[in-house]
Amino acid sequence: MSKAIQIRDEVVRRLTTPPINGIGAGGINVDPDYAFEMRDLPIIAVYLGDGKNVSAYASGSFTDREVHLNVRCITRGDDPLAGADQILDEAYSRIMTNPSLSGLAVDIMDGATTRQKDVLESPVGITEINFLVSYQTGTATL
Amino acid sequence: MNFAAIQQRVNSAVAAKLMTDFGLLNGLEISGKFDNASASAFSGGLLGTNPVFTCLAADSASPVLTWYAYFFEAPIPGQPSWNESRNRILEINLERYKVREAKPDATGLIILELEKL
Repeated sequence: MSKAIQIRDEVVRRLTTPPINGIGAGGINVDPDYAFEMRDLPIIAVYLGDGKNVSAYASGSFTDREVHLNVRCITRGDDPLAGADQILDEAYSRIMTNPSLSGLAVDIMDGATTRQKDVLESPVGITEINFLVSYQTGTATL
Repeated sequence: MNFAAIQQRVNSAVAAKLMTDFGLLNGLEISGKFDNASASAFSGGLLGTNPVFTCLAADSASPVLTWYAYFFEAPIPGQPSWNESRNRILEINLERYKVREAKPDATGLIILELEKL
């Protein structure tokens, strides 16, 4: 299993146990494209974005890499973005309290936060935080 | 018989035949057509429904708006504007909805887009 997936799974584990206030243990998903239904909300999706090799030179012993990791919160209500705010605040704290992700990462930085709103039978919103995770692998592993 | 009279007569006949869903709009009985079709948001990533209630504009206490009146005429004092249809409460099928948007179609009908409470 690639280290990027291990990093994702570590983040999911941190957000799952103990359950985030307002999100049940089953409310953490790894597929952001899954067609959630209104009754599933609120829900958090953790998914990887693009990654790359950032080694300035061939070190001979390890490879520096970066991967984007996104934490998306989908909520409903009169003010869905405010509803997501407190959930993501707790999620952010759990991720950044130990930025090495239990030894899997060199560091983690938060980047852009995006917000969208839409309306079905009630207002819904997506708030997403993009993290950039720096980590190392062997020269022949991902 | 002018066109407005014909339109009103046709609308009344259509409503009598087809608008057979009954509810309470701010406590007053109203008949119309209630639809709760499935809908999606965020490019299909979230599935839900889009509840709407179609009724005669006169029944919903909103004025019948022609496009001319909508764009060029000032609201009639004492008569509720279509904007005031917002936030009215519709009770139908044992559910309560808030009118999110009121959209007159300028032919005597109005579509009330609903938000489930």
